[in-house]
Amino acid sequence: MIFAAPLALLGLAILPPLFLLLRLTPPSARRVKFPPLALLQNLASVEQTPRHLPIFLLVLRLIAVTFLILGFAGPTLRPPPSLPGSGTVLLVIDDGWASTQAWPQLINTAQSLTSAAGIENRSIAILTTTHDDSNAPLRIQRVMSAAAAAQFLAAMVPRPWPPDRDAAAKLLGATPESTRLYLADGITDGPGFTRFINALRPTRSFIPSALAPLLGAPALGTDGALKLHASFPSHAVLRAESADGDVLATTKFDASGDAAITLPPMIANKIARFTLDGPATAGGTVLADSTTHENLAGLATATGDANTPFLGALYYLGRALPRGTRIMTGPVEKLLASKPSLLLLADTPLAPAEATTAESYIRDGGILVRFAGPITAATPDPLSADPLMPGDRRLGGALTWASPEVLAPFPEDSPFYGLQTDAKTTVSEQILADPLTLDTATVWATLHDGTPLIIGKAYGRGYLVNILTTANTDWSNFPLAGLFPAVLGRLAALGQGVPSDLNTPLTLSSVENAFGQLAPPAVHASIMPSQRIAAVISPEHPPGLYGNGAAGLALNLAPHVAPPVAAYLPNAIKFGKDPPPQRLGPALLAFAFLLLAADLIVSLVLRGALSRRRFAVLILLWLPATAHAQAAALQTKLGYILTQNATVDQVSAGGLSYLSADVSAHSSVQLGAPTGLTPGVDDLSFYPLLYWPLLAQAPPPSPAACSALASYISSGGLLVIDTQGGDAADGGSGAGFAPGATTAMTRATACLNLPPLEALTSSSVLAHSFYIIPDFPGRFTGARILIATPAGRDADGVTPIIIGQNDWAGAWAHGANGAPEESPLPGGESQRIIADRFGINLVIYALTGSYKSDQNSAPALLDRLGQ
Amino acid sequence: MSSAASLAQANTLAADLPRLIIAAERLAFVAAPGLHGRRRGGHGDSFWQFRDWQSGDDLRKIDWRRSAQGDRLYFREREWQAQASITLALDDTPTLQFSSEKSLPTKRDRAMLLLLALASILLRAGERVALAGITPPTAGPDALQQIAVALLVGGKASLDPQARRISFGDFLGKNPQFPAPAGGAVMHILDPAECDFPYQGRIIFEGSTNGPPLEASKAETWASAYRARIAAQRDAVAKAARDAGATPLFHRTDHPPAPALTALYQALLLR
Repeated sequence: MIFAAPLALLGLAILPPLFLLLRLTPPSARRVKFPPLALLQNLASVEQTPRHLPIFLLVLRLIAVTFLILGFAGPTLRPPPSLPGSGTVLLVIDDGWASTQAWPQLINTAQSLTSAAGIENRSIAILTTTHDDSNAPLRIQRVMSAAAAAQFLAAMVPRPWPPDRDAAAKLLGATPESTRLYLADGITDGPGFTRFINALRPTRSFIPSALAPLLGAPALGTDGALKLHASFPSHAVLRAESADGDVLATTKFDASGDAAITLPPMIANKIARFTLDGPATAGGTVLADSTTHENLAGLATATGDANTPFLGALYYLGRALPRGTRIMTGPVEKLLASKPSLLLLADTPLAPAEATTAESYIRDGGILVRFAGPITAATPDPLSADPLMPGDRRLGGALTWASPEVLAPFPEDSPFYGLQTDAKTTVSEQILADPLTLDTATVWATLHDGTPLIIGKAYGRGYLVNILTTANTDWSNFPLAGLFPAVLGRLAALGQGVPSDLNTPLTLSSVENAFGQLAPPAVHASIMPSQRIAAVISPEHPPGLYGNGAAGLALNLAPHVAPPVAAYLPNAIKFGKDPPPQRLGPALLAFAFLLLAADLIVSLVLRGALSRRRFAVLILLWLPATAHAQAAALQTKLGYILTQNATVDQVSAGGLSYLSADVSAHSSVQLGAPTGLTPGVDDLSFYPLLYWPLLAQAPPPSPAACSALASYISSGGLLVIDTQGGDAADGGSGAGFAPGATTAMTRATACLNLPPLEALTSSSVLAHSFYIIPDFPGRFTGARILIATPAGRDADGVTPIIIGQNDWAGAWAHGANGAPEESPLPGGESQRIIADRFGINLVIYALTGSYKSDQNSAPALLDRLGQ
Repeated sequence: MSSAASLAQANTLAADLPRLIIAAERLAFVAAPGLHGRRRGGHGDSFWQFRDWQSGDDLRKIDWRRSAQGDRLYFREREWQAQASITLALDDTPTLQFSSEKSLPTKRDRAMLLLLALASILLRAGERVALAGITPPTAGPDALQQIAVALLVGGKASLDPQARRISFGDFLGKNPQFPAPAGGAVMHILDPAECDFPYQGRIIFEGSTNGPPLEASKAETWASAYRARIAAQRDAVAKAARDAGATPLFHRTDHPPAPALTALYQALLLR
């Protein structure tokens, strides 16, 4: 412990004389008017010794003075080390992506340096080497006090891009020499670093104990594994997470910093991000996009020579699919079951059952591409984008006049628009779409004479594409052309929604902060897909997701920042892990003033200026009222009576919570969460509406509960008793759900001194108070509901009690996932809507009374106006 | 006292007047219910009954309108009211302006309340009431108002030496004495603090006049001696009252005023 102002401790020397002085000074006298003064004359001789200050007051004052002196001396626990040099201290702080890893330690060290400067009465300037979100030019923060610097540091956040070394070097070169403390991220991130260090010439440098890891972009191996490389993987575990945060796989890095994840494609395509174990940082996070995701293509053919080199259809298809596509082969039904994103069928007829499955596969987002061939030409099936004609047309054979046709340029609305056709690609045999029923919109490619060659159509979320020639070289040389893989690539891209245009800028949709978390962007940024490779992470191109959905691109730190290398900083000190120094002065001063305040009160009491009663009032003002009642009084909320049955209580709570939220959403009433109450124990008077689920087997309420409920309904409360079903003999859909309900009702309400009751009808205010509703259903409907007769209502015409058996809470109750818990009988969801509306009416009725009673006469008034 | 200050004081007093009178009359009703006329014809202000005129009766008291209805002459007989002149005296010393607690009235307030309440009872009983040295004996429905105003504003009138005299005050002076005519009463009013001396600790006592204050280092040590002295003073007042033929009465301002008023009334009835 050290003292900021040790000279103040000399003040302790005044304590002994103060002790004597206080001891000699009697408590100050109280002046009192006293008319019979004459009668008091000559009594003074009776008592001579002056009254001393009470000893406890003396001790209290001495302690208070001691604390004051100690407080002014400014003691500090765990003092920070002293700083080199003198004068203003310049803190140079790296707040780029690489600082995130050890950010708390960095700020801790900075704070400790700041308090050291504060103790030495030195002012502080701060230079952060990284641009902020708005990409403002770097500047040295104006010279500030240690306290202001501490606040500035506490508000600092690291940025997810690298520091601007050049700008910092320029600034430092133009700044006069002073004590310069450099809190580094510990890496050199490019050639500018040497220039920066030369301009900085730090008096002292601080570096993190471990360097920030940088996780590289995943690469898809030929074996289907995702390979990732990380520099400085201090925490050697890699996690693959889904968009929901589920960890899909974890793996370890090997010594060279490589890791591989192998997952089934269906699961691998769910990966939204890769993260390193340990502190979450932007450097340790890689966001996945569609380029990361693997395509699964299913190939099947009915011909025998499927895989024969240069002959089989699958031989060509397998080579023409985009790189990284994982290929499955097998029977059609098996392929359909594994739901590949692309399914290519070469000359394969489909059985009716398979056709049905295939159709639902397409509707779910699959892409089915069917190549024609001799078998399908002989046995056409109806699953095609347009009706096809049986048989085939042959061009350029020995028996025909016509020569093989070349492809026409792709029409503008075709997915292949932009691909170049060449004159060497010819088709000598094809099947024909029926020209009578041909929908020209489905034609994606034609031959030069206008005959459709590729027809395709969207079904649901997927596509059905017919290529009217073979996938091998039997009928055309199309599979040999460079166009063929481009066409297949476009078809594969259909499923991913990848933009065909690389020059349409994608807008930043989610920005990644330095801690690897995604947030809505605060600034506008966009990137051209074509620029992505060369992009450098900066405030202009912050890391994050650009574009939406499957077409989006992820911009990650790696490889768009300079590869990190450990920096050489001579005599650098590692960030300390010590907690920041603790200043005791303010606490001591506060305690001393508390003691002095106590001394004041005691002195006033001793002088009689503060009577006992006033003192008690003062103390009472300090005591907080009971939190429960205060909370209830400050926020309007609904109450329900606790039963012995946990399930029922839960339904009551859930129902009233939903109702409270519903009322708050639809009206200006803002209700708090409902409270479970035990009458006779809790104060009921704060609740405008009390819901009482009365169970058939419930015992009658205790006398205390009875009187509490009776006083509640007589003093303006609205008690809703719900037996949640009725006897078998009762009407309504709830009959038989609660045998014994009538007996229980009679038993429970015997002591309540109920007013005379009548049936609730749709002419009541309850049917108009917010919504106009025809009846009052809950989970059940149709049973008689009783309210007080007009004579039994209060001055506002509000019934104090509603008795029903419709299980309203059951209709209102929604589970944690927002889904309703119970199903209304017999009306289903439409009944629940009315039940919700009745709930809102009920609350509004309890709060506003007969405010809407004129609505009852509205039809009659309108009728009269019409005449 | 400047004229502006006295005007201000008069205004304050006038604002207090209705309240004071109402309080006094209420107290009078509480203390002495059912005090009415003597139910006999005689000299009085209120009509009692008609009777036939007899020779020798005052002609001015014939009710001519009633008599014109028949052949007889009707004579308006008034209720006989035994009137006695009673002097109420407020010994208005500066020491009266004192109450030891805010919730208690000052001794002067209590004395005025008792005085006016007694005046109200007496006036309703038909007595003529005077304020010693301030108002002459007055009776009638407005008399209470006049007395109350005079009590607050002051006045000058000669004293009726024969009238029974009721004195109100705290009588803290040395050798209290009361004037002679017998049959009166002396109401000695003190504050509870003056009786009990509840003070403790270091206290500076200031008198009502400009005398030097007295300091007690431990006030509680003075209590017993003081209590003996105040008891002696009460005895002296009682003795002086008895010597003057008056009934000595005592009242503390923390006690309800109704019993004190009843005691006063009883003291007057007994004579």
